[in-house]
Amino acid sequence: MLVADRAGYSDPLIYEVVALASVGTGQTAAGGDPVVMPSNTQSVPVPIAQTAAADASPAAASRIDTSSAPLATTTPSGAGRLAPPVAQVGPARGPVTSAQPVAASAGTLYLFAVGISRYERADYRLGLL
Amino acid sequence: MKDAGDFAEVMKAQEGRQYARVVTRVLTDAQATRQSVLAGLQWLSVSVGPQDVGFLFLAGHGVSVHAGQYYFLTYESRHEQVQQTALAERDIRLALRRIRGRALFFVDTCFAGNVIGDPKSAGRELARMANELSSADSGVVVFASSSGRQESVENDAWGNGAFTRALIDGLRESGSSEPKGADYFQGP
Repeated sequence: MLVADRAGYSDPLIYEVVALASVGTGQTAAGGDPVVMPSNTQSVPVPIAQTAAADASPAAASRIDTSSAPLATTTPSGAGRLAPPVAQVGPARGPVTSAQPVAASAGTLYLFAVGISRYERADYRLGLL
Repeated sequence: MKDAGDFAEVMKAQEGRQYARVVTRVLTDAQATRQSVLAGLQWLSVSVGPQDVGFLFLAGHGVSVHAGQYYFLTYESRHEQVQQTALAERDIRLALRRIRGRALFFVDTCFAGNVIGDPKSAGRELARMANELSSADSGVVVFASSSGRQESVENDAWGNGAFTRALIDGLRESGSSEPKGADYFQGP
């Protein structure tokens, strides 16, 4: 679970989002309070190619071009799991010194986005004023 | 709302890159009535194939009216008729579970207090819903702007809520061929 707190947002949060959006896997921890990535998070960069290898699902492996891998973090168990709090992040695989363009996946992304601004949400109707 | 449009725009830029195609549907402010949002959820559910990815992004206000139920307020929501005019948790959950491919849920909502219940309660309900969605049964990837005891923030200077801003900034950088910020996790 990502948390943007009053301090604004911190870089590790951005990287977490990017990594997961790129890999296309991950989720919050099941049960209990959502996983929070604190601003003092420490983690280890891992190529997505290795993430895919760790992900046992054939579908996941087929989506990721392992020859041109951006970076992500992952858990050793891989499939369907968000990188949990850093203490649980998988074994270090060493820093990667270059990143390659992301390869297109075969699938289509369908996005449904809804946004109601604070000025338009008609607080008077909600009894908030 | 700017958040929804900006997020759709940055994801559209991934067409031909991370995704072969990117199809977006955006509802903002007055367009976001309960019926139109329900129709959009239905569209998402039936459109996403087994090899596809479905994103649901909600930015706005969330409330908890009766203990145990989270509602996303639509444009027409009224405090005296939240259940009839807002988007119920079950509608969100059902739509996401029907997605045949991979499903991701992004939610950037602050919580309404005063007349409509306790904001802390709404936060807890969202956290509970997120955990249920991300359970093994549902398998939905959930990104939320706050957990049960936190408050999502927005700032005019950012032009977005903090969560959405972080999301957009990160994704905009992700296509870079240079090994800079967005490609790495970094410590403090």
